[in-house]
Amino acid sequence: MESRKRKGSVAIHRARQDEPSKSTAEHETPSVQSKIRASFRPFILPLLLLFCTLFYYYGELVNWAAWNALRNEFFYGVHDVHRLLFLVPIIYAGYNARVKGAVIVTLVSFVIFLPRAFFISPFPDPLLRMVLFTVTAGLIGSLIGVIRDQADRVRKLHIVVEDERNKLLNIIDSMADGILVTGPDFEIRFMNSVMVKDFGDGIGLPCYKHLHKLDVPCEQCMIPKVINNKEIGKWACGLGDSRAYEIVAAPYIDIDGVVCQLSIFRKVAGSKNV
Amino acid sequence: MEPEWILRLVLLGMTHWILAGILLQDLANRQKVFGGRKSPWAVIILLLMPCFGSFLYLLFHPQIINPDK
Repeated sequence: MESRKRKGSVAIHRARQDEPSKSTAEHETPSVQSKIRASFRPFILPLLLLFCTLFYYYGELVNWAAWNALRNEFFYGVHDVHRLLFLVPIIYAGYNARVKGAVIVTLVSFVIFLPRAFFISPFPDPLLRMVLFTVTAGLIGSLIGVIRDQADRVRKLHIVVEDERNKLLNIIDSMADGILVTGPDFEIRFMNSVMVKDFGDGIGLPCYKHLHKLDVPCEQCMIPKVINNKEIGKWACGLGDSRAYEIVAAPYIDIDGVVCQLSIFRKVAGSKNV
Repeated sequence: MEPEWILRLVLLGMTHWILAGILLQDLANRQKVFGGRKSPWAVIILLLMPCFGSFLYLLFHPQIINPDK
């Protein structure tokens, strides 16, 4: 199954190589919507902060402007709840601009809180409550930044590993010799294109059945020796028809951690391709 | 001076200097700044009212908190 996946990924990789123009063309001409979105993006955080600030000082603004109709008890109580709204820009900054963004927006929020703590709040310990909130909010924002950083790193590493694997499989696939990866259960895990051309696609089938048309493993089978003793083996192998191969086999640890046998088939006699 | 006022000043000072440090580092690394010259921005960040210069710098360079993908 894994080998099939790998072959699939090789095929996908090749398909991507064949049509690079489409994706680059899409990349080069971003839609009008995305352009508008990109130009609006820098204003999101300042607008969020402005909204939070207006909400935080709403009671004082109403007092200052004497908008008596807009007075509401809620805006004259302890402002611990009102401060929670600032979590939105802090978390947004942590998500978007990582730890640095979260720290900057937390400090900006802290400065916004200061006038209330210094001069306005009639409630006990306004400074302490404000500092505690700021520290907690800053930690939350920074943690979100760290998590996003790690997730990005993992995604990039995954792409690099996949690219390297595809490159390696492409090299193996274009070799003149046949390559066969067989598991300890004799199941064929990978065949390069030369092997497929000569024997047909046998991934998932037992090697003795696919290569030798037998129902039991060959008497002189080298797989246990190569895998268990981790030795490099070299032997000649004749098939029922006129074909004969020189085989070099070495232990190979597959992606799932299982020790397999990697065999190189070099044709020494016979009419078929290898 | 009352201890509470000293604490307030210390907190404000700390905020100012942390913010100024981050923004000065950004200013040093930035290739293009609003107005074309970096030194006036450094003076604004450091010497204009505590935190106010930093706010101004953030207002004119919002890319810090909106980095390009």
